[in-house]
Amino acid sequence: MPAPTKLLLTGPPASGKTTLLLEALRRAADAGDGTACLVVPTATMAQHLRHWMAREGLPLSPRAVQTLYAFIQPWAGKAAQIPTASLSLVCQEALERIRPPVFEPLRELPGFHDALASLLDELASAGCGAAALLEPHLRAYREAEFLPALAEVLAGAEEDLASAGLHLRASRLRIAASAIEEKGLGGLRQVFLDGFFTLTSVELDLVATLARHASVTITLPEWPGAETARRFLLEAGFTESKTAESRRQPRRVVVAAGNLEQEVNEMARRILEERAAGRRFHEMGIVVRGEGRYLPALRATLERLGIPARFYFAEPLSAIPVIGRVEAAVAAALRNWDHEALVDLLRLLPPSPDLDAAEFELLKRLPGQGLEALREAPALRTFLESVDRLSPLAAWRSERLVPGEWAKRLAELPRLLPAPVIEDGAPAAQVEAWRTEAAALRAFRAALEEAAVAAGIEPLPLAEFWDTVRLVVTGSELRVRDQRRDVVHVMDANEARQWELPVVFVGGLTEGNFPRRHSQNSLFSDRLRLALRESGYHLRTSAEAEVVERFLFDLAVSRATDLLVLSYPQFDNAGNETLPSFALQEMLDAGGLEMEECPAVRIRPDRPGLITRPPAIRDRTLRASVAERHAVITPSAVEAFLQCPYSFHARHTLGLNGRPPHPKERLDHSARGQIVHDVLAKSLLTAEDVETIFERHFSNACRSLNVPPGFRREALRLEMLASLRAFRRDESVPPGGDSRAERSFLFALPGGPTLRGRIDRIDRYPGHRALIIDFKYTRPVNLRRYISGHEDGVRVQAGVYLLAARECFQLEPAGVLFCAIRREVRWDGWHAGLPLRVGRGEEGGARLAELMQEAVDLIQRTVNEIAAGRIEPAPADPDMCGFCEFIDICRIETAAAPMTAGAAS
Amino acid sequence: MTVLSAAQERAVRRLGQDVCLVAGPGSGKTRVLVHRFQWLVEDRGIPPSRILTITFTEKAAAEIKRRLVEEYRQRPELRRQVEAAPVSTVHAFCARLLRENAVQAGIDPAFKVLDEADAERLLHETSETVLDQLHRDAPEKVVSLLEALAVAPSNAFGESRHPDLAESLVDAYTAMRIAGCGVEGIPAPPAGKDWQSLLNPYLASILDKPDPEKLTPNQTETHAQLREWAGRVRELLAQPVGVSHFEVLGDDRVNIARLKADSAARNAWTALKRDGVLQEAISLLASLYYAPLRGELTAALQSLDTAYRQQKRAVSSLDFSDLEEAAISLLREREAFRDHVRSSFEFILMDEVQDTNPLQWMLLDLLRRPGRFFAVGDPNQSIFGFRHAQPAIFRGYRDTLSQSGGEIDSLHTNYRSRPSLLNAVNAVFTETEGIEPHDLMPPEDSPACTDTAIEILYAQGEDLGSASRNEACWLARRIRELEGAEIVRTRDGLRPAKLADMAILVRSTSVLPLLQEALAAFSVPFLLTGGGTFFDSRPVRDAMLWLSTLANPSDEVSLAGVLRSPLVGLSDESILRLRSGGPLQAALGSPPTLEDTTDCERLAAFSALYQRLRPLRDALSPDRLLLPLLDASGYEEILQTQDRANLAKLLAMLREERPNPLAERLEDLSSRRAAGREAEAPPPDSSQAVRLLTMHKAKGLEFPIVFVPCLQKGTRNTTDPLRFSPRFGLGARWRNPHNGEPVSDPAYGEAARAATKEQAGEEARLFYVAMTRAIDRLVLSYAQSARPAERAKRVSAVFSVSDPLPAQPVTMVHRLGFRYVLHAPESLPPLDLLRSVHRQPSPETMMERLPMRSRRDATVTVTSVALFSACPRRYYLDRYLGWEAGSPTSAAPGNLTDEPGEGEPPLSMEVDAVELGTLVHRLLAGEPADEAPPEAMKLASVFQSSPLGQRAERASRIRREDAFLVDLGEVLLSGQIDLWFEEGGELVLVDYKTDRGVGGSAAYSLQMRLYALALERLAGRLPTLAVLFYLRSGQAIRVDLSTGDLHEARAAVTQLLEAQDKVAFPLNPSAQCTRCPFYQGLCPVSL
Ligand code: SF4
Repeated sequence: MPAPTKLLLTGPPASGKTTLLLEALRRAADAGDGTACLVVPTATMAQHLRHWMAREGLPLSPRAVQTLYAFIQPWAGKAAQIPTASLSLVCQEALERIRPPVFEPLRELPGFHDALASLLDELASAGCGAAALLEPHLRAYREAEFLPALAEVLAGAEEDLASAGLHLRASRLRIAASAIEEKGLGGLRQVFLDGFFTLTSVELDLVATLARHASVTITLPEWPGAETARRFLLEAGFTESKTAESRRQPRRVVVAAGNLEQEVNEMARRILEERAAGRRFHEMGIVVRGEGRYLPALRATLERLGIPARFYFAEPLSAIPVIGRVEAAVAAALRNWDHEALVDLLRLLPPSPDLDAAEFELLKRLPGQGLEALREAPALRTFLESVDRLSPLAAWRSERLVPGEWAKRLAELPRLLPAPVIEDGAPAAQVEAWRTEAAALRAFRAALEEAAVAAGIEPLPLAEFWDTVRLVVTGSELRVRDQRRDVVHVMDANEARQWELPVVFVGGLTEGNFPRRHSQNSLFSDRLRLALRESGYHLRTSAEAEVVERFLFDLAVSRATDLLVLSYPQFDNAGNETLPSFALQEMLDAGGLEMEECPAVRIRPDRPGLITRPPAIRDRTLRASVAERHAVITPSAVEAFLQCPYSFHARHTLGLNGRPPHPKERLDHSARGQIVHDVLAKSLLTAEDVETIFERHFSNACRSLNVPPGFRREALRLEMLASLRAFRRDESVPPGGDSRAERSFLFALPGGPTLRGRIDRIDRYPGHRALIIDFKYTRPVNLRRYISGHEDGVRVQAGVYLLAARECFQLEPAGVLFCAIRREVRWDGWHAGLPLRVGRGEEGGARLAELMQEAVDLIQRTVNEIAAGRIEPAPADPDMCGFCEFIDICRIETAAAPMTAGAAS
Repeated sequence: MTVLSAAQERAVRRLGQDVCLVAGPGSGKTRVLVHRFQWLVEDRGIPPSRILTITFTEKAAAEIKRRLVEEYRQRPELRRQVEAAPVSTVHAFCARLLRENAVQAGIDPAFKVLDEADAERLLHETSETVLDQLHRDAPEKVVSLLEALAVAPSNAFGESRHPDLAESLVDAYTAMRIAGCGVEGIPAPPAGKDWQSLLNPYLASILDKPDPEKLTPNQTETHAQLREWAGRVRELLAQPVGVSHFEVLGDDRVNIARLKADSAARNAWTALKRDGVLQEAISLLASLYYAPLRGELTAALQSLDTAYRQQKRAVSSLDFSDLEEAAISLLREREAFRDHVRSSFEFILMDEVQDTNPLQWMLLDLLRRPGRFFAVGDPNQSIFGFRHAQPAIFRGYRDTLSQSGGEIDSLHTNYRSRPSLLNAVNAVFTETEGIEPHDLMPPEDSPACTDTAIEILYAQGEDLGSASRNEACWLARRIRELEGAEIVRTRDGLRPAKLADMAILVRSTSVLPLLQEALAAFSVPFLLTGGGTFFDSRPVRDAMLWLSTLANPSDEVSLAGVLRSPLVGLSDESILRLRSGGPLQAALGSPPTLEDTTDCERLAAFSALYQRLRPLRDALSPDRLLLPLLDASGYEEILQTQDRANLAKLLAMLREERPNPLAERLEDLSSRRAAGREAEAPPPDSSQAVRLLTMHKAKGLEFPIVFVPCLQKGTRNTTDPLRFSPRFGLGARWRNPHNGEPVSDPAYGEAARAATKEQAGEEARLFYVAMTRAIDRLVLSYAQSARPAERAKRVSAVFSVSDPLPAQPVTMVHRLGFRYVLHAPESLPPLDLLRSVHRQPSPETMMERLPMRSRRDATVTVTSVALFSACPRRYYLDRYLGWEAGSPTSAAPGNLTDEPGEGEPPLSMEVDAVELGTLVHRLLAGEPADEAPPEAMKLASVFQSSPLGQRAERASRIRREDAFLVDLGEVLLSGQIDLWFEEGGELVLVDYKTDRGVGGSAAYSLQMRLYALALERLAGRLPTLAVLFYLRSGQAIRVDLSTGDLHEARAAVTQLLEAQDKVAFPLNPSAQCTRCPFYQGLCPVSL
């Protein structure tokens, strides 16, 4: 056997290192005995290369391409690598146990636990442990004040890991390295390593070990960050071979789009253009830095245009609806079926008409707790059946079990929730959703196991175990398998490093976004990092992190072979101008880039815009049925029509129901008006004082409307009370022995319609004369508008009440007064010949007759218009639109029409 | 480097002291700042990383960075340093400082920064919760507070413009924080006068001094009345304050005119009543009377503070004030740290210092070192009082510097506006409260002004409404006149004005509707910056209706809305028909037949889309729920540019990471809508639009032509019941316990007076900023009004707007020598320019959507193909979607691993058998299987001792457990062959089976043929023999590999790929179903 060779291939990005290495691999494969292996950093990269090799016809087993993680598995044996989320948990526990006083303010902060975990990992990768933080020369620094505590906590975490048999990545690598040293590499004779930017000290040790047992060829890009690794390898006896030959430069284009949306549209437009010119989708890739705002826009836009795309990104596990559903179920059970928690659960169940009705019913009943109170509501039956299936959960609340047992039980939980109904022929998005759901459930079970390991072995209540599960779930990510071939690849700059595609788009090139800026680590500052180098441990500083960023940028822009499109948005979402990335500007300065226009684009819809019809009911039969429906009408309905035909149509004809109001809004204006009316009516009938009556009515109303107690309800109560007291003090129109409250009326106008209503109070005066009083729970300032409405042809109440006095109560109408009661009291109205200090007595009986006649005319005109199918939005008082619940649907547009009309006149 | 003026140069190079540069509008302050930076780097050798530049906005920071990088374009080394130099806003600086020192600061290192709107929402919610909690704990206290304070009962119903208790607390709390005053340190109310000693001298004058003689009978009676009143008051002096005090002091009906002139009593009464002494005494009384409640208020503020901080901590978030507070306390409390931070910056440059608030200034004070601070600002442009910016801070800095002998630099040469405009500004702002007197000067070489660059438009009308309408229409018309006719100076030189060269600057957004209507009437497109009307725009409303329907169609208002919108386009008649048939949402389930065939089709299509998207409502981000409907209806086709931009903005908003599920997401959006602060989207092509923006937003911008309309409109005074000022502490407007009228306590009164004064100054400065935005032309306009605002009065006075008013434009000459045009129309403008323009829309490229493409995978596994041919549905559930056996409701634990390709177990085996099978396979592959059970050993030996096993021993070439990935052309095939070998010229393929049964199903044969195809590529030829070896029975079953068989195997692969394309995976009911893990679970089959 020839002596193992040690070869280091270096060169700038896109100088053909990978090509050289694959050639070497091909030669090894052609030798044909399966003793070569290619090791790469990520699984997608490994898959990508396996596919490439298969298509190239390389007679290599797919197992010959491995991630580093998988490659060392045979030697790492049972040394399990701790997942990131669990590492944070371990750090959190060590912190809890040790509780250094200096960290007390940070003890419960999840970001601090994560920061501890990542420092621990960093230290391990650098080849040292927590103990390194106690190096004496670090003490001289100001930031060193926390180091003893930090070292103690991290050492605690290291111990915990050791006793649980868990390993950090670095320690697993080390275990593998020593096993290799001891046992050799089996039959493996050649190892190729590609795609690493640089190597940590532990990785370098592993490579050195490999090189003692096999021929090793490794590629390293030429950049400052790889220098330490390069030197190490050279010292370890590697021969360096530089690739200088840069491959053909692609055409390079820069596009400044208006904003992010346009930038994404532009990428899509160019993809379609390339496709039309015969390019396959899988020959194109989009590179962005991080997920940020680009991913959702790309997903939506590519999907919309029918461009198949594969996204090489993980999603947070907690964002998957089925996980939300499971979490909501546990939360609801743990909160003793709190109704708000039930709403959360209901909203995450697969939708159905029954659940729609149940949601509104439940919203009406908020707040509350427990299931029993809900059983009386038929609308909730189906929902409660689903909840009842979760009853084991409720029973578990009182138990204490060991974490492993909890994990087992909770793994069964998804079975208690409704399963999806899976059909074939489903649209792509649905297929994707089902696939995601399946993957999420698997990940959930893994998270449970992880949580069980992290939670130790002592029995604990469900709530406590669940907290751990949630931490693990929150820290977990999900990658959903997507195996499609002819897809545009969308990836992060990190992922892009080993790809080479004919067409590459690099987007989001604004300053600070790509390349990113890095700040110093909050636990271990740059100065300390530099100081630690004296002890031989290399931890990356923020400046070095920025060098990495810049290198990522250089890599990303070197991935294309035919066409590279660089782009950035000129304005952010808030409309502020952005600054293009300085790295891009540097490229522009260096020349060779073409600036291209970003044309305004539209996406062709399935059809041209729909023509909507003008609002009107034309059909005779429909009109007749509408007229029939309003044959008996109340004065307030008439006034509603006069204010706006559409709002009348929506409320009184269609009778549309909206969402139930928020609990705090249940005591709305009309509810309060009703309470005040009832109290006033009652106080006329009994000797009870108004406060007592009010408190009774108020609490009844709150009960029936389910208004929760709180300061707001109290404020409204006090205002109503103050208003009623003000009314009691007011002696303008004292009720007499002949006052009657709440008198209903029903009478037909000659020629229709029939009018129905109720009068708040009728005071009888000698000579069978009647004064009608109507209370309004409104501020006195609003009364004027109400009175003038009778002049402006939008109010009929006064006239109708006067008519009712005559028609239904056989009294001579002598006056009608409106009384505004809110904090203050004010009266206004018309009367003739009555001894009153308020109202407009001077206008006399003729005005009363006019009011009645005007009301009759208006009502008849109104019912005619209703019967004629008039329903357009036409507010008599546009200011009232702000309070109208149909404002979003009536389509009244504040167009230039009134202004133009004004100008023309 | 561009040439600087002498004054600019002096400021740039000043050393040995702090620099205070007072730079008027248009005087090139950013230029000076950039030059200062360069000078420090180049002449003083300061590394860019050691110069901290603080700006007021992100935009300004970006602009400075851009200019600096531009300057160093040719010097790569310096350029990289400059790129990384700390140029940022105060907030960004604090955020970085805290992120890097989170441990010292005691905050989460991964903290998020809440944006203003989110922080405000959280604060309001917290305030509600705190008050509710207080109500639960001590309802009587809440009742007392509500009764005592002049607050509105609620703001929940859009009924009141007055703040309620929750809002009032929030306002006071915010003011307190920005003043740098923690809740624990609220200053005590100003001590000083007590009400008794205030009143005593007056009471003495009334009571003690005998009345002059010779009073008329009327006077005698009145004097007696007054004495009686004074007597009652005096009696109260010693009593504890109660309602009667307010009653008596409020009973001030004595008629002053009926008191004898010049009498002591009359003088005293005059002072008490007219000079406000009585009111002051009542105010003092209120403060005493409500002292216990004041304590409650402070406690409520403390609870709010605690709860709000907890809330933020729970979500690891900081608001903007937290950033400043935390940075301040970090610097303040840790001396060594402060020294370190200070010493890391040689110089600090700060822009727009006049916009600094006290908290920010505190921070600056901690950071700066003597002689190394360079501050640029203009007290006359301080307009962010509502954000608690205080121009006094800059003035204080300047005064201190100059008192200590430092030079103050100032730049008053304005390079922006025409000289006549500068003259007009100088004329308007002579002796104006809040404006420092500095005349703006044109550059020395400017030509004399003979133009008429100023226009005054004073619109008259019957009432304010009609005058305002006249004003708006004339303004719109004037824009049309100027478009293309006026020659303006721009960066690209002189050219006819475009709409984008013009800006309308308004004081408040309330005037926008009127202006928008007029602009629309005159076909003037506009670009609205700011305002809060985004959610009210039509497409946004329509989109929300659809999303609400998806969330829950029982919301019939939304459903009816979407049905009648152009998203669906049903007629009202059809909707009425649907509604007559029952609940509206029933129409979505099974759409009924409608008489109108168009509607019938529209409803059917809509219902199908609804059915498709509803199950995905939480899985897809809302934008992906919206787009299909937009495309299906062609909705965007009917929208104007602005509406399309708004829709795009909504889509972007829907993509933000926000809470799921959809219903919650919609609640979040509606609370954003309620906050009314979301501005409309900028249209993509804004070159053909007039800018419409508030004066605040115009800060730092310039436009060739500027309109400042609605000058008559004043601002509303706030009626906040609580007021905080650092000087006077917490003040309240209580209710007079006797009559319920509002009565301010002294702290409130003082703070309110100070605020009113400050407000007047701020208004003047706003107007100053607005006027100085103009380069070539300035149009000031207002409507005739009975009570015009101060700025309108000033314009009237300065520009002699008085009778007789010219109905046609006339040119006037101001006494300062410049000309202006005055126009006072009485009616609407003529129609000549109404709607007559046709502006060419910018060209758009139409993108076609592709039909659904191939969805086939790049690889298939052998077992997948076998599984598919056994039952497509099982393949679909198991492999394609990845539903594991044991997933919800599946009947039995399954038997197929999810990871295809390697080590795949056979098709029908139970779990224990799988493990056993794996062990046997490993044994047969020659691996040491530690502690393999005897059963496994036995099974392995069955093969080893068989004739086939013997042949394998003799093989010239052999591979065991050979994983492969081979190219079949249309797809890559992966799998693992148990054994293949060459022996005696034969290529033999073997697959072990640990099943009990024998006979080999069709699936096994298919599997073998696929292996054969793979082997053809691996070994270079097809196997000559393929054997299924049953380990339990020792039987070797030969599988046919005829061309036809192999062809069928390939066809099976193709069928699978086609099924993937179509997502067509039919059921294959058979006896095997009962052994399928999906039976009676995810599979709907019934046997
Ligand atoms: S918002 Fe105005 S126009 Fe629309 S329905 Fe309501 S009242 Fe009518």
